Amino acid sequence: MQTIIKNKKAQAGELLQDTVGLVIIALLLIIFLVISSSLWGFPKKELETLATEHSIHNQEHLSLQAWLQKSIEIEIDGENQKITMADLIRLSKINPYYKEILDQEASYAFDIYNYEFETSNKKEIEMGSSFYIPSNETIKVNLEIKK
Amino acid sequence: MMKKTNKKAQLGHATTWLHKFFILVLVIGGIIAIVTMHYSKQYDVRDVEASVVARNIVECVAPGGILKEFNEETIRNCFPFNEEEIYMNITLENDNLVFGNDFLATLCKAEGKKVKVEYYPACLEERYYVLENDEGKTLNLFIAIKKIGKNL
Repeated sequence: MQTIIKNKKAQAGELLQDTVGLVIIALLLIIFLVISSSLWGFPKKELETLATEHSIHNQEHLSLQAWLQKSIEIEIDGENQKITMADLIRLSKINPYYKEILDQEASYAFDIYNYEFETSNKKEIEMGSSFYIPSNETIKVNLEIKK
Repeated sequence: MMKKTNKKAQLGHATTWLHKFFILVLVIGGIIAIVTMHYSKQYDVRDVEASVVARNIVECVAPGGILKEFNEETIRNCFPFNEEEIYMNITLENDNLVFGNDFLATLCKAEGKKVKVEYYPACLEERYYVLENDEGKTLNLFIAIKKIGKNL
């Protein structure tokens, strides 16, 4: 009789141990699900970001590409000459007078789109859409939507 | 007496085994459920698709940013599209080209006004600076894609 009672207690203990184990396993599964979702999950959000970035980049890139080919008639060495915006950017690096014309033209073209136009000598790739203008020095033009 | 004790022990053993089997089923079931949840999610790629369609239109109408031809035929020859699943409104200054199912445009407006609809189309609005005879012009695009059964 004594043996049977002890066996019953042992069985109850084992059952309790297994139940605690079961709860821990269930908790671990939930924790792993939450962690994996936050690390690799939420694909909907990522796809939305990808679509927005793709759309913004398309607009900036194609608009800048078109504008760089636009012709402008300006006075160079006393003569009126027709040059492209890309040429004007090169000239603006030599003579600050052309920088003013360049800024005016950029503002006239891109202000309605809420774009920010800038030229730089940096080689690093930043945000927005960039083009390199062939020249002796590094000239990079960058178009980016204003934040 | 001996036989009775053995029966009880057998019953206890069976109960413990069932409990362990239940844990095993729970663990395997849990893993399968998590993996299924991750891999069976439906991805809405229509926004990306709309962006790709917009790029195709611009490359077709104004390759390299310079306006070539702006007419219905050019767009139709540019890429194949199902008029029931897509709506495209392309405007260049005063010229306007419209293709596809215009009800999708209404649904896009409804989304803007936060009207409750079960499935909205993917709506995209873009503006491009293009050159026409060396003059800067704005090309406006409005694209709506339904494709609820396909790309959602």
